[in-house]
Amino acid sequence: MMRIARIIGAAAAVGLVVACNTSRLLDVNAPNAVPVTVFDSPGAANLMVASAIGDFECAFGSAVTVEGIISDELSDSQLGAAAWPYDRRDANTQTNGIYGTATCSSNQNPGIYTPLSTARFDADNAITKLTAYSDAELPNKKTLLAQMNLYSGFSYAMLGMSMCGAAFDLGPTVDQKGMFALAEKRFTDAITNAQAAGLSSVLNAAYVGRARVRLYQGNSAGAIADAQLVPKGFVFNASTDASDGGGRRSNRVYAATQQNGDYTVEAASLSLKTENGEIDPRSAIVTTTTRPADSKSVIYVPAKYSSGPTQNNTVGEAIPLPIARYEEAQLILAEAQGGTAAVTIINTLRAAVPLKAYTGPTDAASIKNLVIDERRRTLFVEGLRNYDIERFTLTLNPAVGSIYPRVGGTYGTTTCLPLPDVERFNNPNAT
Amino acid sequence: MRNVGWTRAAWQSAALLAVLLSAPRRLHAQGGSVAGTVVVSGSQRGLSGAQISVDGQPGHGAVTDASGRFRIGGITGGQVMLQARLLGFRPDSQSVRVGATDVRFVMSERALELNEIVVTGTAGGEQRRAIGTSIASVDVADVMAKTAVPSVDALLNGRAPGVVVLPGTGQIGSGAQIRIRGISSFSLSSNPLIYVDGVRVDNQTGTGINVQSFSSGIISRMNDFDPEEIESIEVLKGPAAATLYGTEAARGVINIITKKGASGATKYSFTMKQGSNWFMDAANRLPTNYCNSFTNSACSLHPGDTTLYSVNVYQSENARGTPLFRDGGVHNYAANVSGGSPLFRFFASGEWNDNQGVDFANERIQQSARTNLSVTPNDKFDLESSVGYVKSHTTLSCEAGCGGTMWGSLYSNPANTSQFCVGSTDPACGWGRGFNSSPPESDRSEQFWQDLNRFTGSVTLRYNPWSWFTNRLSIGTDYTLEDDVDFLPYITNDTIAYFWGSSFDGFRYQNHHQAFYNTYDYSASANANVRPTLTSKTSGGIQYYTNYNTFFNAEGDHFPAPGLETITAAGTKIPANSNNTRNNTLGFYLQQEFGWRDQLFVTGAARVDNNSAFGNDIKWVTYPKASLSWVASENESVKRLLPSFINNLRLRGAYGGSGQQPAYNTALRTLAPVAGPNNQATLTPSTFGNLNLKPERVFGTELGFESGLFNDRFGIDFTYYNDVSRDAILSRGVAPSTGFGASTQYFNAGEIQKSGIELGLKAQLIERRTYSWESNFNISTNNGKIKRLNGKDTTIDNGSYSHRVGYAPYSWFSYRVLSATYDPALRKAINPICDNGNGGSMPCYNAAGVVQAPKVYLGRGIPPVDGSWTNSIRFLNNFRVYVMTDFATDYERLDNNLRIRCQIFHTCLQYVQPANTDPRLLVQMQSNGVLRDFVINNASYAKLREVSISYDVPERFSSRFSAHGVTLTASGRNLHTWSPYTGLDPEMQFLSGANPGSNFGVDQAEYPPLASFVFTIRANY
Repeated sequence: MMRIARIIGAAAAVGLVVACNTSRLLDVNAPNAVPVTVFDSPGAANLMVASAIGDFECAFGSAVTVEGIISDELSDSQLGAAAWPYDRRDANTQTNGIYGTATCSSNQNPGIYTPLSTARFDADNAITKLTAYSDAELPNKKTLLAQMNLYSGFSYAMLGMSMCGAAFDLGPTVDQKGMFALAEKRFTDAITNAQAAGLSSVLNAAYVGRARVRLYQGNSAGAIADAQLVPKGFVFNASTDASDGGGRRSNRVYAATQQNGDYTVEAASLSLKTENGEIDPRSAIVTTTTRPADSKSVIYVPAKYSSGPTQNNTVGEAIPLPIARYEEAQLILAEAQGGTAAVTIINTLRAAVPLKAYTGPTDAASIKNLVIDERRRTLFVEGLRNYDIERFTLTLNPAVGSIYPRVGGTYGTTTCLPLPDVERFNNPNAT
Repeated sequence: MRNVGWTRAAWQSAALLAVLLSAPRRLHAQGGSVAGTVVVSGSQRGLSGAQISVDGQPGHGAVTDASGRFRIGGITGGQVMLQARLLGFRPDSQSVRVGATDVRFVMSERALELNEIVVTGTAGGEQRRAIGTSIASVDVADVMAKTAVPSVDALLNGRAPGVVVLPGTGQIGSGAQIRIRGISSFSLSSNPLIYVDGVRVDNQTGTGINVQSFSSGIISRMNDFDPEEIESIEVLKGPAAATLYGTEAARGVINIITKKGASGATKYSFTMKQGSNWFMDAANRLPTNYCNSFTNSACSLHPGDTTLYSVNVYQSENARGTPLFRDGGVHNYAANVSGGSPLFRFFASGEWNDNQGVDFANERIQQSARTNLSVTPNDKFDLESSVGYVKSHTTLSCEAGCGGTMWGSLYSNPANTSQFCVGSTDPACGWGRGFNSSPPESDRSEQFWQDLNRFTGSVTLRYNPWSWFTNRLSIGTDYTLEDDVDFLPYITNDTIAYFWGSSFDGFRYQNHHQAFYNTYDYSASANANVRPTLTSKTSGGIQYYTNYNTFFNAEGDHFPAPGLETITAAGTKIPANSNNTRNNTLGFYLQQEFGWRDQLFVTGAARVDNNSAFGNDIKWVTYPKASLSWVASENESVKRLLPSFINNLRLRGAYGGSGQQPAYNTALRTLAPVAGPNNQATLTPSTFGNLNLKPERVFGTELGFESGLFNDRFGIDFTYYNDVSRDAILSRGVAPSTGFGASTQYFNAGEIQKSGIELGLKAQLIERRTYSWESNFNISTNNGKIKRLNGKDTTIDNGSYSHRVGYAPYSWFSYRVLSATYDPALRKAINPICDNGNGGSMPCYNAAGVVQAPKVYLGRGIPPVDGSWTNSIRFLNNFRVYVMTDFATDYERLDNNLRIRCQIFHTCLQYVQPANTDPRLLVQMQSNGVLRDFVINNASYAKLREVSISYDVPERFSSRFSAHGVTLTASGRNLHTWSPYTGLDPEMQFLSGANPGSNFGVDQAEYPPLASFVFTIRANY
């Protein structure tokens, strides 16, 4: 038994010696990620803001593409079935689909809820951190706050335009009007900070954004007040470039259509014309030589996002995507003011193209239809059409119940997307 | 035409046989002596180490060499009685004439051998009689002598109760998922740990380019090891058996023991295999697909055309002279040499294998070599080295969601045939010949391959300074270098180029992956006789394992001209990625065993581990173990009570724990770098993390007995086990509202219990000098059940499967449609009625058209019952027939082929002709994928897995050419399946790498397990 005791003692001693220095034996690192605390200092503020903007720009491009597919702007031209619920408009019956989980950098399966939620979180998280710093700690605090409130506002706005309901920071489900109200608050804060910092582009973009969500909330006077402040020629873009080979930095519409042939312009939007029968150059399309993913379709691309008939990724990936611009502000004015004021605004915009002026009736219904049609062509594939279909209760095209031409099935009724399973299952407060 | 490969194989075999038999003859022993061989019944493999003695002539005897040969000289008399004995075999005797040189002992394995040494983690191993748990052993050398088994996972299939082999695809080079006693984790790897000669090795499955989109690669690292160089495989099942292996061992441990040299004459062995793989009954398994103008506007030759059109591309391509599949060749050559002296022993082998799949792109060419050396300078010291090298080139084809021939043909569409091209402006119209998207010649343009270089080496030093003390130090490494490539050349054929769309000008993606597994293992055991009847064995050890992986991948798209192949030559370079991961484990164990009269063994042990994944706070995790083993039949008082036909009975029981941890840093909330605006590197939310994450701990109890009956001609091995996985870890989606929606989060989700039985029956039904019949039957059950889910959860859904309290993990849940009504005017089934979950019914949808019925249980994803029945019959002395049938029952597969044809592409006859279809099915097919219980189907099966017939060339012929044994074997594999499953094959599923992914249990356009015929010549010198 003494032998056993000695052996146990020796083993224990060896174990103790090794155990005392095990941290070195077990230390490893994760060289591809950093803890979130890296943002917890004023010195990281600029990086934090640039990161949030990058996430928004990727999310925005993806959301514009998805909104185009769900509406009558783009259609599917691939064999992979995962994204068909967008185009077939039955995503509302398949809450476990990609609209809830896909990210922003997939051309085949562009995401919307997750990337916009990430962008929203980034911006709001940055606002919280930036607010806590003093001006001395962070001399450009107001500039950064203006930017973050602007991107947060557009994140809420885009979520409200696409989702029937969304949640924030594991909170309860917020409906569309609630999201627009949140967006309005962020735009207001962006305006305040942009004015203080002298940031005209952020200021004007915030005016467009606030005018938009005020209009959506039925606040026409507020919308008019903001839209009138947007100067002619103003445009605020999501920056894009060709640095990552069709990845998150590229123009997502170009990547999904002309670059990869997964989507094309929907037949109903191939030659959009004014009531005069003129083809509107603002919604012109280019017939490309891109080979379609399904080997069958012809890939048509909005001219404003095309590199021409032939694919040129260096050019196409770097075409910027407008987030907010003067023309939208003018059409908000037209919609809010109505009547002859609307006709004047629209004809002014047409004259700049040039297109023939509108000379039709000016009753409320006619003007409403004029505005809807003008928005469709002027703001073609800019992420606004689908919510127009929803808020104006436009007739869905192709018709509900008609055969989905990919390989069968029938068109559904989706306009806004319900809260996806990934949120409902993993957020204890979501309903 | 597989007979071509068959005939070629036969000619090549005959040629090799002629070469082998032309070797020079040797002289034979003369009078005053006897000589012969000792072989094992069944495989007729030579047995080394058997003791041969002569009755009445003490001092005259011999021990058989590595080939089973013996020679005894100086014998007096004309006729003597020889006795043959060997551990693990029943003794044999025969009267022989002095001077005979062709004495042949055929020894039968004991149904129960309690004295054999098995590997348990302690220095020097343990006698089976002292171990309180069940350990499955596969005598690989014996199996390989009976039949042709192509891979390590196929060796385990049906031969180790409780080990479930889930193959997934029939592509050559692929490997199965191995599950030991089912699944005890929701989301962590269920791959068992693998050791080769004491060194932990890469156990990844699903490596290589992802050729199963929605899933993973399909190449298993376990199958790098050639069965020809393996002596045996031992499987430790459950936490009680694997406690000494510590963290990660909860999923079981597979010990691969390679062949070693034995002292004696040098032995040479040559093996050649020639054969063919084929797609069994493809004509009846690949469906005919349909369309008409009601379901597809393109399926019409003129307005008002309502004709039903059909296509079966398997038939049409055969008629066209471009068959979809080939018969893949099997060309394997192996040679080894072994021998040595008591001081130095060696084993060296080399193998060259070229196996082709039925897809024209699928092939694996592998070369492997092994050198195992043993040095024993004295009785206190020995040194063993084990060095193996594998080099292979595996080419694969797209399957499953990736596309390829299976995808294109299973989902073929008559609308894509040329008859509908009249007036079409589609430039590709008709070129698809009915394939879903593109014809096979287009699919084959894309090339996938993995180049592998793998080195596995170890050195084991044993030092026994005293008779009571044993030390063992093992140091080894397993280094794997994988180069995975996905390459599409610039396509110059306009027709094929059209199908490649914007990718027609090619691309190359390349992933360079290195994996290092290092093992440092010191163990010691001390034996003592506490009392004359009480022994003590104290064991302890320290193990340190490191795992380091590096990844570097890059991609280039769009070659400017044909002939360019490198990423550098591509016009668009996708930014490269590199990463590395590390994970280290340090552990200690201490075990105390007491033995009473060599009959009763009581063991207690504790394992203490720490791992990199446990975080910076040193959290040592302790796993206890206790076991009892009682060889009751050796207790005189018990023996008197036992019926006389029971000659061995051992009772055993054990309790123990083991565990596993998630990957490093899964607890942390992190940001990852991405490209940002203005060429600025930025950060984006990456992992959500969980600071409260704890390692899984699995504790298990097992009880069982083994018994040898009728002089050990019959054996029973029975085990009941009950394992509980506490804090089972689940990976679940993160709510996007957190900002980290693109990631998943590991958390301790709850408790999983799994229990079951394992029963092995062995029978030497007939044993005669010239004929015999052995039969083995194994069956195991696994009744997994989720006992608890933390928090408010009672259900965690993931697509068609769910984790629910009271059910096995990964069970199928979906809406069950009970009835519907067919409306001929609409050509639709309407008013679906669903199971309400309480035995009643309710409308499936609410007024808004959203499903309101609950998902209900539809079955299990992993078979809870599996087993095998093996028969080996020897007749006419030299002929043997070996048949193995295995089975799995009571589980379901999601037949995604059916779903895709009927619910997505709408080409199944039931959808196209709705009036003739059961409305209950039709309403699901017309639901755009929402209702789908009709695709979750019973996948129980029995398979005629292995059939072989062997002929041992009589020694009087083979010995003329110096060969001591030549065996000819014809083997068939996967020759027949009995199953109610209506899909392509009940074994097919997405592989999903190491973890059950979201497409677990989904059968979708994978190649089915291939049938094969292999002719083997095995010659020993």
